[in-house]
Amino acid sequence: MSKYIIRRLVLAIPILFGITLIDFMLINLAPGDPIIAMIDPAAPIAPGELEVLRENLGLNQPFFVRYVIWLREAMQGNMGYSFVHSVPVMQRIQERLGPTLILTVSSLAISVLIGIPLGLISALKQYSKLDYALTLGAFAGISVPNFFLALAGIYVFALKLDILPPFGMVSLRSELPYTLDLLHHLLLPATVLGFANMASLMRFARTSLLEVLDQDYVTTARAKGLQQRRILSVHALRNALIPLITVLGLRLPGLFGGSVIIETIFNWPGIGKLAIDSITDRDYPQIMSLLLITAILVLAANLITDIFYAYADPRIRYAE
Amino acid sequence: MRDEHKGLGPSPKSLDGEVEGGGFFQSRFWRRYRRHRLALLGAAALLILVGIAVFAPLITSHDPLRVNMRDTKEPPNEVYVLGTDKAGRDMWARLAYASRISLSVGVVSVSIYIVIGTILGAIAGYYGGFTDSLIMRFTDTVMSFPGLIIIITVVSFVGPSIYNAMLVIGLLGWPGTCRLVRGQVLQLREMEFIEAARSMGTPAPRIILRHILPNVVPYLIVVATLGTASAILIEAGLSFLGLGVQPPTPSWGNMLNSARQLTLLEQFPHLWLPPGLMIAITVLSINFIGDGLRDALDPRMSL
Repeated sequence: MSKYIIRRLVLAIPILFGITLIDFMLINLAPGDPIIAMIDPAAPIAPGELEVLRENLGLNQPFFVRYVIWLREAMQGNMGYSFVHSVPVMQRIQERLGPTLILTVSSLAISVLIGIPLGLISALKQYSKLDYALTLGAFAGISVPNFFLALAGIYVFALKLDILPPFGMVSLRSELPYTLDLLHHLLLPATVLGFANMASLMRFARTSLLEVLDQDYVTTARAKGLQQRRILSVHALRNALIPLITVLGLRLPGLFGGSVIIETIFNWPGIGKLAIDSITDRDYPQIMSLLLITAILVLAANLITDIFYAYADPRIRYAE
Repeated sequence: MRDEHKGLGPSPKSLDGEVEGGGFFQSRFWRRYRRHRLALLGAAALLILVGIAVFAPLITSHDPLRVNMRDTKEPPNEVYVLGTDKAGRDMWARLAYASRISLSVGVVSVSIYIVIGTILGAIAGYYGGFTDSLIMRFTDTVMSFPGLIIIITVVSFVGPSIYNAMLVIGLLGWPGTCRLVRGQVLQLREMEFIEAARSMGTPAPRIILRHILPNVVPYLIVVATLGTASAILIEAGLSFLGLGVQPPTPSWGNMLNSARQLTLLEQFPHLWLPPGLMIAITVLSINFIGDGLRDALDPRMSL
């Protein structure tokens, strides 16, 4: 097992290098100038000063030199300073990581805890009215864009019913204790962010259980006269849930992307909003650090998925 | 999974019902597709949407771009079927013209990535060895990009526009197709009819194009359909963030964006409900069609 993990880790390293190189290229070779974005268009500035500024930030160096310098520093844990805010980029990420993790993890929890059971029920009641309704709902879930869902959610729950706050992570003044206040603010964005995942997990859980119930070993268990409940708990459910690990792992990158939009709408002080702000400011070091961290998170998610999978399904482990 | 192509036999077109005689409506494909009621509904809805996009000038009576400050934020009435927006522009006209944008972004970006993915996947699968590992490592790398974040970054840097949105979605979307095609080619190249072609001295590009790829087409159709749905969602998301189609050109995403303020949201649902529903209906119908196609073309293809 540990051999398998090491092998996968080694495979992930060149990918990570590739990602940083491509990211760096995309950012630096694209049109748009961070210096121009930095200065006030209304205030006049001497051309010479622009050059000094460019030199101070190292932007006068050729592209490849800049990449090597960046890579050397990044490997020593120095991700650089924000062009715009003159603080270490990691400091700003640390401030924002918590809110994003709270949002994404709770949205994931909502989608797993609701999506999978609904999918399993749907499979057990195949071709019933409930099954059709759930399938239709799942299709709607993957088709409705999350920003529209967010606007509709704000309209219904915040503006019309007035039971949930329309944006923000905590209230300025609240009678509720901090945790409750946070949960109150979290409910709507986390549900909206988790909705599409919930729908697709539901579809996958349904298909997966139906496939397992069709297997010979389930027929054998039935022929032995086992009770339906025992067949499900011992033979069917476990095997049906294994493929869902992969589905869940594949969904994680999308979750970070989705949080960009959701954080912007709900004014949630997380990584996604930081990303949008730094992109608008052409804050190269900040963007690079965000891209690197999301890439690491994605690769880690893939790795953990594969390890879980190998753990759950011995055939994978021994086939290697 | 392993032997799903055994049943295909040597005729590369046997999945395509039209070749079997009797015309489209008697074909096996159509008989299977027809059984899928939601897929039929989706096809009908998409047909109407395409109709709206193509005949937009004929079915609207106002210019989608004409600002009219006397009639701003009008609720739906006899003159303006769906009311007017913040600048007094006709909502129905904007909605109809926006459907052109969404559909074309979906089709163009998916065409780009189907072509890239198919070429790379076919080369990797057919030649194997070093070429294969090189292409597949590159595919893994692109696949590990944090999807929407990198799209947002690139589009905002190269300049937000509909063409850049198409291009970026297309250039970053191909890894899934590449993997699928490679997997299929790996299986197909070991089959007897390919061996026969090779033994007759057929050059590799010709084997790939004439004998292997036609067998992959059913899969590509399904992937392209479902991909179109997600490309439309991505474009709408970009436009919603102000990084896709630029106002005043209408797109469903930027129409939603301009109605984002809480006061507009609360007082004028006609500003945001219709574009949101249009996106949902379009994506939903395409997803239904994709599901029906999957069942009709190959029921064993996994989700």
